[in-house]
Parts: sequence; structure tokens; C-alpha cells
Amino acid sequence: MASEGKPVNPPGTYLKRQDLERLPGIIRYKPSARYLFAAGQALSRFLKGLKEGKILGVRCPVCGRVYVPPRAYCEYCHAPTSEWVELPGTGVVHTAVVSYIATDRSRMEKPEIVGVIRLDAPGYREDSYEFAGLFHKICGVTPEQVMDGSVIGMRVKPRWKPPEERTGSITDIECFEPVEGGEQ
Amino acid sequence: MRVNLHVKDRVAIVGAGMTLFRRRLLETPRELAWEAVRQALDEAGLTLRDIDCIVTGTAPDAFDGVHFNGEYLADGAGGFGKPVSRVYVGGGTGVMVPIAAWWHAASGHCDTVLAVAEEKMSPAMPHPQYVFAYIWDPILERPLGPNLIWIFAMEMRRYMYKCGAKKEDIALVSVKNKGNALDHPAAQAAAKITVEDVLNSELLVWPVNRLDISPVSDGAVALVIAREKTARRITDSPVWIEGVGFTLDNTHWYNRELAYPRYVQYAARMAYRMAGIERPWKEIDVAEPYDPFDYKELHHIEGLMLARPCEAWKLVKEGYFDRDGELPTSPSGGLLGVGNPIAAAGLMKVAEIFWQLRYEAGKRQVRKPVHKGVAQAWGDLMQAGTVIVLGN
Amino acid sequence: MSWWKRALPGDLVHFPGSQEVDHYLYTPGLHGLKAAELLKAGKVPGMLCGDQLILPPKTFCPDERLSEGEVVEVEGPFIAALVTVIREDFYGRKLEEPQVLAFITAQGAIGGYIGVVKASPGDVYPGMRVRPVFRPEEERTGAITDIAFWEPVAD
Repeated sequence: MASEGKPVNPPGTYLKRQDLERLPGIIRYKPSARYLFAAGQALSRFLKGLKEGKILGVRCPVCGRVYVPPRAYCEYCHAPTSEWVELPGTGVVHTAVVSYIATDRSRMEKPEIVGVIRLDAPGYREDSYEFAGLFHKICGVTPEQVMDGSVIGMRVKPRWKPPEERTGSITDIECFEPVEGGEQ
Repeated sequence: MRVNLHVKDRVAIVGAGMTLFRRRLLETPRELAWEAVRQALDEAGLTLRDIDCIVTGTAPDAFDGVHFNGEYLADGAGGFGKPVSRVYVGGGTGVMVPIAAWWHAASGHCDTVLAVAEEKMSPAMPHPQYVFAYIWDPILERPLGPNLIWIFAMEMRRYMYKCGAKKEDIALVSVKNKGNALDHPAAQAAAKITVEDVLNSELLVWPVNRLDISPVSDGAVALVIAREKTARRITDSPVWIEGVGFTLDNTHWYNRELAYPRYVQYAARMAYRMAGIERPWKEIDVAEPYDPFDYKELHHIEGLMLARPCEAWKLVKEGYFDRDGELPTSPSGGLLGVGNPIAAAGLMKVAEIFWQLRYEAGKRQVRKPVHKGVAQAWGDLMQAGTVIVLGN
Repeated sequence: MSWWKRALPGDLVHFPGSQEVDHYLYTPGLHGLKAAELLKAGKVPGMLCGDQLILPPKTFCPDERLSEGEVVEVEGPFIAALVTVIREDFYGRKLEEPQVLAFITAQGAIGGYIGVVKASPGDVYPGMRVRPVFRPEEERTGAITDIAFWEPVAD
């Protein structure tokens, strides 16, 4: 039995950042792949709904769950979903965080608050494991409120962009903001 | 959930090998696989001639920057002129690789199997986090400009809220794992740190600081897996694969409770049932739960039913999960300490349980006697759980 | 299928996106580094596994021990084993001058390199002898593109 323990002398050749750039034979390559993502039947309608300032869900005829974002089939029953439901758009904050970094990990000038909104939708037991919800930005609250926990459970509603600026995208909702006087 | 227990043959791990885990290794992905495989074969005293099949695993191709990465590195893994397959469940891949190797052997199809996992994250510039942008839904999530860490921060925040844990409680996991890694010869981020160091490190996405996260790494790990008869010929101390489990939930991570990983529990139940384990919190002697972030280890300890929901953070404070504690977790140092070359990191955890159960972990050997261990990985958009139970 | 899932194609939304990183940096690897140095010196790299010459060098040999090979300079003779003539670019536009692309191997070697042969399409044939023409020394980076092109050798 090796007293040092396994693995014994793991191989590998470490490079410093500056050595990497100067290495003979290093290949620098920039790929660029463009895509056109099909939204499909259910999401297409959802996106059009956003353009009209509505949050649409779709109901499973078997279990009664209302899906937001909508899917063409129910994940639990594997049945085709049938009926569109317009939701009030209100909900509670499931979780919220304060981001200081952007997608490419560069520092943001101004921190951004994002989170998950549990939407008011029929078809779910209270406090059920799964729910209708959206991932979005949260505004009208301070980082301190996120940190002290008062944002979680807060009642919120969507803040819509003006109709002429909407494009049929998730960003037609600018963010979710607290409902006036609606704190739990 | 029903598990087919009528396997053709018992299957054991008989050798393991790994490279250093580092950011920016000179080696190409296939060379990393080659180095790990050579070490695993040497440990088992075998050559490629003795190997029937190969299973490889790497996480998104976009890190290495090579499409068909599994095929690209296959020859380094010894996979030419033989049955080779690649499995993929995001971060869960590392434990999925030996699970797939297990069914290759347990079915009787292959006598000996190489399980190889590799990841080279450093080629993506300016930072691999940028590449993670493409795991998000292109229509509903990417337009919001997310960073990968957001999703973890949201889950951590929910866990803190639901379980009453504070940042300083969770930071103890990072302190423990980075400390454990000091005894790991391949470790990248081993350090003696304090809770204050974690809290004072760069704030990325509150509640996540830099030291709450595992580093960017390159590396590879390989295991040699064999059916019982062959295993007994190769070694006197085979480590048996007693149970395997894997579950995938849907990608709609914002449509479910983030404080508890249901899918990990499902996978764990499947593996425990196959291994005949009824009370994992008593019967498991050593565990390697997946820890890309410190809270994740707690999350997964609870998903693996080694602690009750919302209680893992309290037990960490008592030293319950220390190397000399009641139920040591991540004695290797985990992803936080050893490093996180995604697929390879999961397989490193399996290799650690293998070494622990053979009493070969040297200074990392846990104090209590060990009979059964569990390794687990997690992956994709908060949706994949892979679990393997080993016994000596 | 419920009634609403019969939208006309025009009703469906397509969302543009891209997949890009700023760039990738690919390391040459252990033996790739030695090969890069040979290329910079204007030499064609290969690998010896025992007596067998293998192109390009790959660090490990295809044997049962995956043993390490030895990076060596290959002096030739080089043969264009397979040749093809390219007449259109990526986008289907006609090239002004057709280009000859070849798979070039060395006598007795396994494997080879892909390269451009500077010759008119009528003059090339599989099995013809070629030799490498390197870029000027100051332009070389250790990449395979250090070989600017291959030219026919008179028999």
C-alpha cells in the first residue's frame, strides 16, 4: 500500500496564461454558427400573446395542470394539451439573486436582480413541487431586500414594455415588479 | 420504479487512473484520455489487448471546441477497432460513464470495459462561462442575457430560504473540501481557507462568491471494469458495483421547487434498492456527492438521503461530514478542491470511492472502516441525477 | 392532436440566435509541440512507432500498450496518394482557378497530410511525387499551414 495514496504521480503539463499565447503550434479559431430556432406551435402562440400583453398558459385535459411556458403536451400525462388559459400574470417570487456579472463573466456596471416567479395559475396544489412559472428579471426591489430574504414570497406582476416596442419575445416583459400594497 | 436485479454477472472496478486537474494543460483532449487510461491499465496490470469495450464521456463539445469530442478522443482512450460508445448527461456524465460500463459488462456482452471521462474547458475564450450560455433555452432564457452562475445562485438562495441556512454555514463545505484536497496529488484548488475567505472572495452573483465555486479545469480519469471471474483473476481486492441509478427530470427548471433535487432522490432510490440498502444514512460509510458549488454538496447529501431535507447544513457545522466524522463526504476534496473538468470530475469521485474501499487513499483515507460507498453526479438544467453504489 | 395545433407555417415564430465564443485556443499537445517546432524549422513531422512511420504524430502508438512514439523529421519521398480538384467555393461560386487538393503520404508511412498541390488539374494523378514548399520562416507559427503548398517533383 502506497503511503502517499493513489493516484501516484498523476501526469499533466500545466501552462501559464502567458505561455499559452506564445506556444508554438497554438491554434486560434473563432467559430460562428447562426441559427434560426423554431418556437413550435405552443411557444409561437405564447410569444404572440406576450406581444399583446398577455401571459398565456395551456391546460392538460387529463391532470388539469396549466403550463407556463406552454408545451404542446403534458409532461406528466403525455397527453396533448388542449385549452388556452389567460393568466392574470401575478405571482410570487420563488427565488431571487443579485448578479454582478454578465454572460461572458465580465463585471456588470449595475447589478441586476433576477429570479423565478411562481405564477398564479389553476391546476396546482398550494406549495406543490412543480408549478407554472417564469425565469425573469425583478425590478423595484433593492439588493438588500434580496439578501435579507424579504423578496422571496413577495407578490409581483409583470411590467410590460409599451405596445409599440414589443416584438413577441420574452423581453416584452421588462421585468416583474412588486404589486402595490400586495406584500404577504 | 422497478429495477431489474437479474443481471448476468457481478461487475467490479479493478483499476483507476487520472491526470492532474489544472486550468490550461498542454495536452490535447485525446492525450489527456491516453494518460489516464495508461495509468488505469498499469494499475490493473493489463494492456489494451485485455480490453473488450470502451465507454467514453465528455460534457458539451463546446468546451473542448471539438465536435464529436467523444469520437475524437476515442483512440486515446484505447477505442479503435472495438465497440465504443459515448454517454452524455451534462455534469452527470462522469457517473453515467461507469454506469454504462456496468451494463456493458453485467449484460455479459463485454468481459472488460474501460470507462473514460475527459474534459478540457480551457480552450474557450475569454472564459468557459460564455459557452455555458448555450445550455439555456434559446427563446425564453437567452434573450435575458443569463450567466450560468445565475441558475446556481437562484437554487442556493432558495435552499437558504427554505432551510434557514446562512452563507457562512454553506461556506463550511468549501472550507472542508478545499482542505481535504490538500492531500490529493492531482488537486488544483486545494487550500487551507476560512469561512471569512469565502465570504470575502469576489462576489459574482449574490449569494455566490468565487470561493463557493469549483474552478475551471482540464483533466481526464479512467477506470477498468470487469466481470466477476475476470476481476478476481486481475486483483485480490476488486470493488464491486452494487447499485446504479439515473434519472432525468425536464428542462423546465423554473417550473419546480429548487430547494430539493427530487431527481437525485429517484436515482438514489434505484441504486440503493439494487444494492439492498434500506437505510442509506446508516449503511453508507463514505460518500462523494457532486459539489460544483458548496451548497450543491448539501443539496445532494439530502437527495442521496444521507441526511434529512434541510439538515445537511446543520450536520456540516458539527463536523459530521469531515474525513474523521460519522459519514465522510468528498474526502477527495471534491470538485471544489480537486477541480472540475466536468465529466472527468464525476468519474474522479467514483475513483475516490474505489481507492477508499481499497484503503489506498493514503492520507485521504477516512478514519472509520469502510464497506460501502456512494458517488453521485448531477447535470443538465437542474435535472439529471446519476448515482453509483460501490462495496468491497 | 388538438385543434390549435394546426397553425399555418406563417403563424409559427422563428427566433434568430447564434452560437459563438470569442475564440478558442487549441493547445498542440505533448508531441504536437515537438511537431510544431519541426514545422517552424521547415521540416515535415512524423512519428516512429518501432519501425513504423506514422503521419501526423499523435503522441501514442496504436499498439496494445498505447506506448509513446518518437517524433521525427520525415524526409520523404512524399506521394500524393489521393487527389481531387475543387472548382467551387463554400457557397457554390465558381473558383477562378480550380484548386488541386491531395492526401499526401510518405513512402512506407501510415496516414498523411491534406495539402494543396500547385499544379494544373490535367497534370495531377494519384501516386505522383510531390515535395513541400514552406512559408518564409518569419511567417511560420508551428501550424500545418506553415506548409504553403506542395509542388510536383519531376520523375
